Amino acid sequence: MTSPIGWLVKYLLHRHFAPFGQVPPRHGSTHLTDDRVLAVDWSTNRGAPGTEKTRNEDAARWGFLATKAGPVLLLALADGVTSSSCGFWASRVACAAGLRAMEEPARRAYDEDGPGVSTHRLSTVIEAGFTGADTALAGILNRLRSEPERYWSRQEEPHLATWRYVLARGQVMETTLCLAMIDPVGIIVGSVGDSLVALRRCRSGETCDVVIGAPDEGEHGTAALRGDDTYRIPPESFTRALYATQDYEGTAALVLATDGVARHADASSLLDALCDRRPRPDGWARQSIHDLKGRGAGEDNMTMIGVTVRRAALEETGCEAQQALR
Amino acid sequence: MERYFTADGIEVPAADVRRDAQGRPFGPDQVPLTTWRAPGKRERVAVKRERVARSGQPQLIVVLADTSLSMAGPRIKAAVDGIREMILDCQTRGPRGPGKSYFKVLLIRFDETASVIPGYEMVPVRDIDPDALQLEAKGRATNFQAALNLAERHLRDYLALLADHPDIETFPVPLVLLFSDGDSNRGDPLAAAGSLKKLRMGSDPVVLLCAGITEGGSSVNEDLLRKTASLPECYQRISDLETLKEWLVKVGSSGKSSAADLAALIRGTTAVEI
Repeated sequence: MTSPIGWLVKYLLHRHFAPFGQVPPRHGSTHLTDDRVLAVDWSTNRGAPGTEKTRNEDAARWGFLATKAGPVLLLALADGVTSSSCGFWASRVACAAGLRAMEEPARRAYDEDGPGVSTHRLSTVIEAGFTGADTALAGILNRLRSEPERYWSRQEEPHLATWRYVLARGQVMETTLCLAMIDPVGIIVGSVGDSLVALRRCRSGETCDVVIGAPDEGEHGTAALRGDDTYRIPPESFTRALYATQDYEGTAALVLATDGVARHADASSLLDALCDRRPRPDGWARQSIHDLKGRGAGEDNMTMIGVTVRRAALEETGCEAQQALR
Repeated sequence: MERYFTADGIEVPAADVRRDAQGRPFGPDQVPLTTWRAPGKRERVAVKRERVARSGQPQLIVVLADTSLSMAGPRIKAAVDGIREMILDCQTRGPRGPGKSYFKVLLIRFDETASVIPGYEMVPVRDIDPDALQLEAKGRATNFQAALNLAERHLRDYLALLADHPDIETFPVPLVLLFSDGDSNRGDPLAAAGSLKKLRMGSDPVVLLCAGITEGGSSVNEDLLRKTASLPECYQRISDLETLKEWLVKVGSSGKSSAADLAALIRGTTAVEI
């Protein structure tokens, strides 16, 4: 049975964001190569069974935006904060609201400036995405605070006193968020939280790997979006990790991954795997995550969006995306 | 090539690293090590495995609450508020869902005698309704020994159950929090405290922290409480009732497992000289 907060979030998602994407019918590893896939919305709340984290509270969403300068790929990846109530809903809302808030400024930027939009202007688009996500979370938190008993999530907090306590402290609907934008010329990515963000670009026959954001080693103190005004992240630190490049030639690869086992993964290895174009056997992603356990990851989970960009293909509205889920 | 380091960053020669039955590395001084791969690095490093509270291995918090008559009024109200907030704070740690508590709570009241408060018998913290907590202060004496002996009996049973646990060295050590506004006028509290402090979880002793309420003038025996605590620095003077609440919350939900860490926490979070 869906909790009251679940109904509230579903209602808001439906009202504002539902037309944006579609929900794939099953969990598991997926390889999307269909050029006709224009938008995807995926969330997963299944952690490793029998372990502490039986929910992973991750959400991902991506889609193409049509502009006069050509197609632009917008991506979002979010991971609900484990110690926060309703993190699963927070990650879904952040992805949906973040991408929606990016649409209009991105379209305007490309329509007005063409493919060579300045890095500064692109960064304002990313910031608009974070602001949009933060505003959506704040709106929901305010609704919850206005009627705590009505929206009391007994599944999350069995006692009303605890529910009131976490609402008062803003420990509800907290999530990390990565936002990225890829066009035929450049890539820009921003991250609040402890996601792994790594980029490989090719230039003059040489490849260059850049790790833009890395998972925290500690369990506490993760930077996150939260709807609480008291704890709100100052605008200047919205994009704790922000990186833009406009000089990739031919191909580039981008990895966005929630923390979990990603903190035990090597960014270069993930990029190598992403750039390896050989077909994967069924369950490859699951096996790869399993292998990370040997490096101390334990029974944890990870959601990863990997994007390989071929400039020519993107110009023809082609893109390949892989998502590995557990 | 694998390289191993202690938590202090000192490299341990690979030849000195031994492994337990599960293949996990141990340092030359039997300090458990674990390996992980740092982001962006190819070498493997090892760090000391720390005692961490989590749902599979919750930390037991034992609160010994003075309910003698002198605590009546604002003091017992502050104590109840502090314990309630400590429970609330503990409830918000870790992932949500049934069976996910990071802490267990054992609440003992004491005056001339000591007894466990029904509903707080070493229960997972998420099972406790914080609003249901009530304490009355109407006892005619203050008996530290009874409280410490009762806590020790429960701790002995608890530690015996975990004695053979394979991860006993990463289990969080139980914390005992005693607060009072008076002087112990029954039995031998130091002997009882000494016996309790000898209890060990694996290689580390149970930690005993004390707070003496001096607010509004009281007959608290600070010297006795200082000696009762695991370290003199594990004693906290409570000169106003807000500090009692802060002490209960910060210490009780800290998740820390050593007297030294807790003493540092107390020093860092209060302005009161100890």
